[in-house]
Amino acid sequence: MSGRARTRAGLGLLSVAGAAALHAGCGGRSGLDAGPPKPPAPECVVDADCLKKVKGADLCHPFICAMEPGDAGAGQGGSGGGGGAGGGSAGSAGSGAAKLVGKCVARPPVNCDDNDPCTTDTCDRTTGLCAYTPSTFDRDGDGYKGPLPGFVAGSPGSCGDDCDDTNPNVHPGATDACGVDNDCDGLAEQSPIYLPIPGADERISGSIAPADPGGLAFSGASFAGTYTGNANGFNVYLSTLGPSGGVLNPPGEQPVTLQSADASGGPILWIGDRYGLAWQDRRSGDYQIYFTVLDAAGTKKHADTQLTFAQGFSVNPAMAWNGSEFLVVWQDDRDGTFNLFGQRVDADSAPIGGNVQLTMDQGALGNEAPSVAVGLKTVGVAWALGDAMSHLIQFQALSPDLGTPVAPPITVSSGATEAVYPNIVWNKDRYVVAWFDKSASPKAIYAAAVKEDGTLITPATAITHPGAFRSRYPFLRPLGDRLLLAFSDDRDQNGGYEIYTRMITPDLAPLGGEIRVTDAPHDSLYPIASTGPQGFLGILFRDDRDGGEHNIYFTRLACVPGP
Amino acid sequence: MRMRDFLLALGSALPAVVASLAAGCGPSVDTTPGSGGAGTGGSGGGTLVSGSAGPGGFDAGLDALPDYVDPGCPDAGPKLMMFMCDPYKQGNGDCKSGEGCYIFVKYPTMPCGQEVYGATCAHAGSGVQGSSCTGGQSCGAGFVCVVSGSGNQCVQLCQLQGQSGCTGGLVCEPIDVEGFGGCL
Repeated sequence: MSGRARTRAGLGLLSVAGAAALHAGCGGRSGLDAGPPKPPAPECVVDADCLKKVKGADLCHPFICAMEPGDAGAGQGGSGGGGGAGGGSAGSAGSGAAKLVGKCVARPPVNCDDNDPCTTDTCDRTTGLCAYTPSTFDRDGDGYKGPLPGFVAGSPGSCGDDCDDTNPNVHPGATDACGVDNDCDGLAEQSPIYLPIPGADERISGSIAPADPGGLAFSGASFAGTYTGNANGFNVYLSTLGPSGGVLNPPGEQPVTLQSADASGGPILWIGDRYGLAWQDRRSGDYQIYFTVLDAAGTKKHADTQLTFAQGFSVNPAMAWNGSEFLVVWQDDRDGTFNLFGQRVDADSAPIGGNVQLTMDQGALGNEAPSVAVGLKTVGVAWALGDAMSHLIQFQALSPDLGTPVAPPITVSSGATEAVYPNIVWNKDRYVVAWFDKSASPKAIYAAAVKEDGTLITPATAITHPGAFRSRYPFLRPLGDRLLLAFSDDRDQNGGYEIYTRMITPDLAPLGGEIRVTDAPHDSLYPIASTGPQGFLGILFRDDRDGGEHNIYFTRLACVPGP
Repeated sequence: MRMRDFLLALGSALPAVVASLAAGCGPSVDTTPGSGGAGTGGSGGGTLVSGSAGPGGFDAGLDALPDYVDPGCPDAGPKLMMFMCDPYKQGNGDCKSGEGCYIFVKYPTMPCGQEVYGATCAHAGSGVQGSSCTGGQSCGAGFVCVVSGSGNQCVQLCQLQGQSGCTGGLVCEPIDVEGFGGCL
């Protein structure tokens, strides 16, 4: 590479010298008229000069300072092959060899590839030395590394055998809990049934009504529940709860977003050693998406990272973790109508690349209410496409960096109804998308299953049976051989909605009945579930039982081995 | 996670006296391309108590991150309220015939600036529950235009406590004008 570059530079110099000689030989201004041109300044004297002068040069992309013939200039270039005798400046024509000047010439970049997929190979630009760091990590500190993205834990080339590197209770050799494959052998205890625990409901939000759930995650030692509340303005709050419930105090309930910024949202994920949290606020005038990380106690560990800067609404963030990066997806009307955008973020809150537009304009229809899940080799996004009158639920599989569609988007709902607010999960070998429909018959929770390549496996299927009433706000929890669905339903006409659960197969067939979880006046809404220790399930939800005031409650479901 | 409902601007009906009152403090990390902050984090005005941000990306351990103290907005004043009519009592004489009483919010233009909430009389639109809208005045009196996550639509104003007044299985959900809800 460097030899070729050197050749090109040499030819360039020859042509310049030739042109100068011809010009002078045709009777143009003599060198005497204009005076002798000054020889060009050398680009470099030593190699180090090139580091300063060549854009992009560093010790991993080195340049050397090569001495090459300089511009012969009028009268200087006796060896230029062009008849220096006729055009030379006085006293200098044909006087000898061209003067050598320093030129920066590129050398081949340092190749640090060690052909080991289990290392990340980098070159230090300040030293030119290679560094080899592990490409898979043990984030949860259980002694086992997670696999590379796109690999099943423990499979050849995966570089890791921890099938859940966000949970220290899960690793090869661990003991299975009810409904949970803790030992990574691909087999969870079969046929778990989740049953409400009498008296387990507990209010966790303070005097911050109206409050709405944001997210729930389990660190292996405690739950972190996030929710929006109002105390002289909206904020996102966080409470940590013990494994059996009960707000841990200290720290108690704490705001985790900037005061006086109208913050809301709060999807939260535990990645093994920290939480990632996303939300929207309008501290800068427009609603923008923000992100931060917190430790296991819920203490913020970095300044808020602003992920969006466009005018308009950037709202309703959803989030997933792909084993090495957070993927944040939201709706954004920066171009006039809502489209989905995404952003990769590393474990220290630093954005990777810029905002990526995920959907295309569909006329006056908006792309809204995204949900995102990470599959084996792709990222699945579900959202609602429509206007105020009707909506379709869309699905699309994207490359892990969100930048490339794996297949065109498909519609997973059926008919022009009001299908809204999808929730997507990856369950073993497929994506499952659930949503509710405000105008279909029945007004139920519907779901569809999709292959990773975007092929529909199971079309839209009603998975709840509210009769003449309504089911709303689905939340899916993947369990491998089945899925747990939590939702709200007003079939019992108990003064509002109650929380229910049911199990379904990966093909969306019912497993057992629909189980009522709450029993209180007014509404119980927006369930978000997370698995706790010994397989029990924690559910965060809004409940209006306190005189209609919107508060955040937490309850648990016991996991019981099925027959 | 529940999708949040956001008020769409009322447009020209916003009282001219509503001006932004800003107090400066900004703890976010600027990642604007070209700012030099992209991908680095940690420089946004907050306080890193025990040194710089950890490297992450490897076996960081449970205590590898430094503590961060959010500076908050100590200079921010209380919210400004400007209610020139009662949005829950349309037709009570606060507004002229053909007008409705519409809630509005004025976003701050600077970090930690004050929001202004209020209600003002404006020409009443025709949108009812579920109608598409482009701003507050697209909707009839007693309705409000929100970014709902399921289309920008008119929704009926409702009470956030007690009996909401929402019917047909709709739920009263808070919108980003303090104290007000919309039936969705």
